[in-house]
Amino acid sequence: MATTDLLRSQGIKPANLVDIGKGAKARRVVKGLELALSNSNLALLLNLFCSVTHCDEIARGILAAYGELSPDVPLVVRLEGENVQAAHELLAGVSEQHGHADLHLVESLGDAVRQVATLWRGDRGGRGR
Amino acid sequence: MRTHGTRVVGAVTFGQGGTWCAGVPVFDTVKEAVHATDANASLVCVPASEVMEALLEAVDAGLRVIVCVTSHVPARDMVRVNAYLLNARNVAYAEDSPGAQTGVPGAPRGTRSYGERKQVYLIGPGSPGVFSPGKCIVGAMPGHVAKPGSIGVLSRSGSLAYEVTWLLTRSGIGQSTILGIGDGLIVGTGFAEVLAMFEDDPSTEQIVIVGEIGGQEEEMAAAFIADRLTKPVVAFIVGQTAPPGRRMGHQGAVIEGYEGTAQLKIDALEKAGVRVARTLDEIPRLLERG
Repeated sequence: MATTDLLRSQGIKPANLVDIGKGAKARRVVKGLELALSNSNLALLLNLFCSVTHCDEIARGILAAYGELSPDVPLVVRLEGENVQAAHELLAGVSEQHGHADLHLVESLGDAVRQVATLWRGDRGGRGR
Repeated sequence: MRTHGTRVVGAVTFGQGGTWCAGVPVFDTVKEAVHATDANASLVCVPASEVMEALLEAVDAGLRVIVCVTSHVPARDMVRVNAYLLNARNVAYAEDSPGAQTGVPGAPRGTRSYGERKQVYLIGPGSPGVFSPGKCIVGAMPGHVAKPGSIGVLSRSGSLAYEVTWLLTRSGIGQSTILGIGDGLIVGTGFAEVLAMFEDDPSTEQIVIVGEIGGQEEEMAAAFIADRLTKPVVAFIVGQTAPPGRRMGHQGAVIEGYEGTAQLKIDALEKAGVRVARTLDEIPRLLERG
């Protein structure tokens, strides 16, 4: 909810909000991404501060989602918390496994929102508005 | 939990009594576990449908601090648990000081007598736990985001508690205790009760409250702050752009009718003299340097 507040403060209207909940496994991440992607048309922002579910589990979910869903929007991913290092290592290899993967790995929530804002401005520019 | 100083002495799973798990004995019932180990706190992490039974069992076993991390516990179950807790407190109070219990039953939240010897604190459900950096943790917080210091962090959301703690740590500000009261519609210990404990805690100098839409916790905190709290408070409320009537991830995060909006909460807190941060990044700046 803090994430959607921040996006709104940048003038960006979130299409949806998915809370994957505590103790989510990779499968639930894939399902969550599927739901979130169903009406996202600009980018998908993932902001997770992990405790019960470790970051590397989320990363595995993201990798699985790339294999199964082939998202057509860029993913902006911000992970923090337990096992964040392992997650970053897993995600660093994503473009090698999936050539089409458009994944932006960022360090903080502020960076994530700025990245989406940049994409948003680029998108508007592209449409000549 | 062990790496942050907690002495884990036992586990409870019915049917697995007599076995060992991670170097501690497993018991069939909480009572057996408390009797054998003298535990004084417990962490409840059973599925939502079983939380009520587990909490009642923990109260009966005489545990003083009960932390429940499970989210989406049925509200009706929590009504029963809280009624049971109130009763357990009154019984304990009556035992401790005969004749002194007048005024305690049915007292509105935030005005109960605090710190009784047999007080039972239920934290949660849906809580990230309680964490005093360098001392002890009961819960599931990522411990490396915190550092010892003098700020009390109080939150409804778990991830926001980590987010704020991490922000403070990166700004060089340590924390005395980080506590998440839980994301449920009905929780045990509320903001006001924890504020009373922070007020009495010599290691806490300032307090950060992270609230969100829905419920009345922030309003009750504001009333308590105006009434009794002497320590400075900074607050941050999320859900400023949340649509009414929509449950925003957490069970308790929903604007119902005209109630529970972020603006109402911000107004109530500001009226009580709290400095309210508009963005996360503002929080460290609003804390008094000392």
